[in-house]
Amino acid sequence: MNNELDLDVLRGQWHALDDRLDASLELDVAALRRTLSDRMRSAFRRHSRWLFVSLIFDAAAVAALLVFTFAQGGDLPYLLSAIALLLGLSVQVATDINEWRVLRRLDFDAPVVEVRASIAGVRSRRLRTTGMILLLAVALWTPFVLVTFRGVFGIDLYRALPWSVLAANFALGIAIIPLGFWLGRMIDRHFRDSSGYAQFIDDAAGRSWNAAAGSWNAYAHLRDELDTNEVSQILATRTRRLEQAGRIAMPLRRLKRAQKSGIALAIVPIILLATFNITHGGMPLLIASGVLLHLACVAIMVANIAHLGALARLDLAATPSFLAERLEWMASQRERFARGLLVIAPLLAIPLTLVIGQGVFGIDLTTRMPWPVGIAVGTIAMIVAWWLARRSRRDPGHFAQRVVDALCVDTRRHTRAAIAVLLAPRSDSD
Amino acid sequence: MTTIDQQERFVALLEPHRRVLYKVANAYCSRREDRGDLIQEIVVELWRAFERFDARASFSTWMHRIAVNVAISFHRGESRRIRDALPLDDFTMDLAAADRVMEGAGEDLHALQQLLAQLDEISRALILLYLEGYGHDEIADTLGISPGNVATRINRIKQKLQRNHAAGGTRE
Repeated sequence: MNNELDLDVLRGQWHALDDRLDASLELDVAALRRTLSDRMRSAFRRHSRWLFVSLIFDAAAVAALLVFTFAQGGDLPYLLSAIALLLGLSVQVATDINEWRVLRRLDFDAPVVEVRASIAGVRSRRLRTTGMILLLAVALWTPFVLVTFRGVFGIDLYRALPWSVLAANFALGIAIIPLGFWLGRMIDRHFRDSSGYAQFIDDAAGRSWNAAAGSWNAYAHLRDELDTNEVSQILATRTRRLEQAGRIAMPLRRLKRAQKSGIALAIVPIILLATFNITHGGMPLLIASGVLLHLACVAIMVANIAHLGALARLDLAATPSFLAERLEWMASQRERFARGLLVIAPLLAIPLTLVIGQGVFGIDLTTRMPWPVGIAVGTIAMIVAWWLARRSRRDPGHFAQRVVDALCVDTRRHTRAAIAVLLAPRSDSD
Repeated sequence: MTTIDQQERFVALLEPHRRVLYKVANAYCSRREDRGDLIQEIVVELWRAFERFDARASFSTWMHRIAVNVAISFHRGESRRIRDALPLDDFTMDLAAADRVMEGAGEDLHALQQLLAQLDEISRALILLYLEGYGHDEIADTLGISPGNVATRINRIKQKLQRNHAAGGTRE
């Protein structure tokens, strides 16, 4: 073999292959034309399955609502409820269609900056819509239940329920809008610069555009890397990422599975409490208790979702010690949240007792219990909560560890397993 | 222009450059099935981008840019797979025959292919474009790096090729 291998000489040999390759690669032009004609179908398939399902759902919901609207034309409360839902849904439909259109048009040939700009446009629209839908969700909940019961089961809840129930639910829904708006702005102001918060918001905005954005961001990131790093460095980073991903795949999967089961578990009380709230709107103390517990369950679910999102975004190219530190930090944040929940548990026990009393046994403790007893119970709950808060601050590591672990869906154990794998000494054969 | 006219134009431009599809796919995928998938993906992306193709520009350069971008994305596993959307048979491209051409291309090109397989995705793209006869400016423009960076990288890869080849020769 010749020990001199010149790339410029190889260039000539490479070109010499062209004719032979052309002869062997006979392109079936007719088949290609047929394929191109199907481009819409194939392009559609290539987009997020979730977006597709969402569009189908949107179309079905709009059709069902239109049918309902025409069928209930003479019944003003139901007509207004259906129109309110249609308006809310139309915002969602417009966003989904716009998103689908932009994703479909994403062009590999366009400069990265241009693609990023169009993705940023979709992102801001998507976030606005998501925020608006979340704000309207509580207000639209009552019309949704009314229309569903009437349309699906033929039950006229509007006349079956006391007017105070509906009025309280409507009022709560309307009152939540400015409150939610203020809360959203406050959170945004405080966490604007946090990458974790930005990612969480992106996740909340939807999976389909996020996937496209993620892919383009990765490409743009690669170009940034190229401008600042040597190829060997980039290659080393990528190799490390692959190798590390393989090593901690199993413990990470277990950790993610735990978060998913946590989300599933939180959904059950959320649904039960929502049902309780809709049927007890006329009892101020009971609905306040129901809403408080509902928010606590939503917070638990959000904590699981945030943890899951953070795990999905782990940079596996980072050093093992940095990765271990990140995992440890995530677990500590979850435990902090669980400890906080545990500290306010005595206070939550009061609304929980009221809700269970009414919901399960049909006993209205708000009227049955004399007010001095209520005040005494409340005071005791506050003292216990204060005592728990002190204990939790003094020795957070040992504070009700088992309960904290249960509230964190065993996050600590799975995190430790992942960290052990990461920091384990590797043999040469690795 | 109607869709049919546009299709005719696209196919007419693509046909003489079909080897580019194979060469790019061959540089990024070792398995024949993956090469088939990647070729399909490139063709679909080319078609999607075709309405924005400037007829005054070089089709070959435009095609290389898209093909390389799709291949990098595919190689990194970030690409949305379309395995079920476009069966390979529809293209009737005999990849086995093309593989035989590559196998019989001589020891030097073999050594080059082995080197390509060891390079990271951007360096592969760079060498592919270099072998296709593109100048440093065009390669820089396609990959989004500076011409100086292109020259440096090509020199490094040339040295690596020499080292690998010499090591192989010594062993033999």
